[in-house]
Amino acid sequence: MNPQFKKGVLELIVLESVRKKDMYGYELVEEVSKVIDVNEGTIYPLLKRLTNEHYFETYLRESTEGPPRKYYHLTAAGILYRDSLETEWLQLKDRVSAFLQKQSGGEDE
Amino acid sequence: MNRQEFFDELRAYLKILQDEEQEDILAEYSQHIEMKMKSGLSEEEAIGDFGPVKELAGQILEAYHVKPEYESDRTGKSGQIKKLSAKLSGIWPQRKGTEGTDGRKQRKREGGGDSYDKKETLPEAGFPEKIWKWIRMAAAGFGNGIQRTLEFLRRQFRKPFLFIRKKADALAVRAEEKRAERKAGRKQQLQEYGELGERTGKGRGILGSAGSFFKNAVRLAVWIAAACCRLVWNAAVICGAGFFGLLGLLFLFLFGMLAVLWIQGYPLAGLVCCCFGAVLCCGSLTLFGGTFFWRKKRGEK
Repeated sequence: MNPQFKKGVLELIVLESVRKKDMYGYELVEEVSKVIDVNEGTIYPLLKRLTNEHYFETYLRESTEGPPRKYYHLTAAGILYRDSLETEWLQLKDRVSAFLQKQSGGEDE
Repeated sequence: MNRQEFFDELRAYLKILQDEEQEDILAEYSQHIEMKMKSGLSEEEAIGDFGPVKELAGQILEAYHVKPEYESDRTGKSGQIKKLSAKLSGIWPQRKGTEGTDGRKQRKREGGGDSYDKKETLPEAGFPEKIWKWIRMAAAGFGNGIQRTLEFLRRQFRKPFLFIRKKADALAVRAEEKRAERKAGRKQQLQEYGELGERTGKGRGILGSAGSFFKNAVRLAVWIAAACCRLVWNAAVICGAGFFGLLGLLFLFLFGMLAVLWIQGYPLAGLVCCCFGAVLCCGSLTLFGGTFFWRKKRGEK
């Protein structure tokens, strides 16, 4: 898939995943990989950036299988940002779809 | 590449970050590699998934708004490192007190042995303490100023009220005095003029008493007016205090509700603060009105 497409929607997918449930890094990579193909090299720096910008909060939770894991949690600012991203995405999707339909003969339904 | 090499290379690129931060990042990646290995991959593959180390480091540093050219300057000027670490210590203010000052103290102790220029020691060493002192002084002065203006206002408010009362009392006293004088005067006249004098004295007495009665009536009217003013003022203060008290309770209830909703995750931080401010305003206005009422009571007693 075009990497620019992936880069564009990655933030939205990450924010939405954490909104549904607080997650740690590995879990999040798996969750996002169900939607688009990404590698750890992209996800972890993105998580770090979103945390520095206070869209995420992190906390450590003990785990039975090793050292405590760092969980990510969506803040109120993160919720607002995610909502704005979703709105923009839906607008973009509609406009691009409308444009493509016009190009391919312009049949209005 | 094995895990140790991966971490060493990454650490070299992330040298600019604080040690705690570096270890935090590496710990998270280490955990991730562990879990990947548990799910079947080899260490090489797990590390390979991170991509080229240089790119990874570049993206990590982006999160801290570090200049991309910094990488090439890594081994270079010490001044740049100092400026950048100063900027970074600004991003994490809660660590400034522990890491920042200790680091600076260490550098100072090292003396001429290291390559850092002494003139370039960071100026923020005493800055936070200075700022804190200044803030405390400003707050104290501000509080004093507020107290003084409140007392002044209170005196101003009570001045007209006290003035009216004083005047009414003075008038009443004068009225009494004059009445006493008149009485004394009339008695003298009656005694002096005898029978004939009685008639004229009576005539004068009637006129005099009519005149004095009129004047007394005026004084009485003034006193009644003063009493009415007092009554209106008291009623206004009590009503005001009561109203603001009820309003304050309403805002307190609203504040509680908003705080609960805010904790649950809705973005209501601003509204909560406004409500809290409203509670404080109404509470202070109630107390302000209350002081008039209570002081007055004590004054009358």
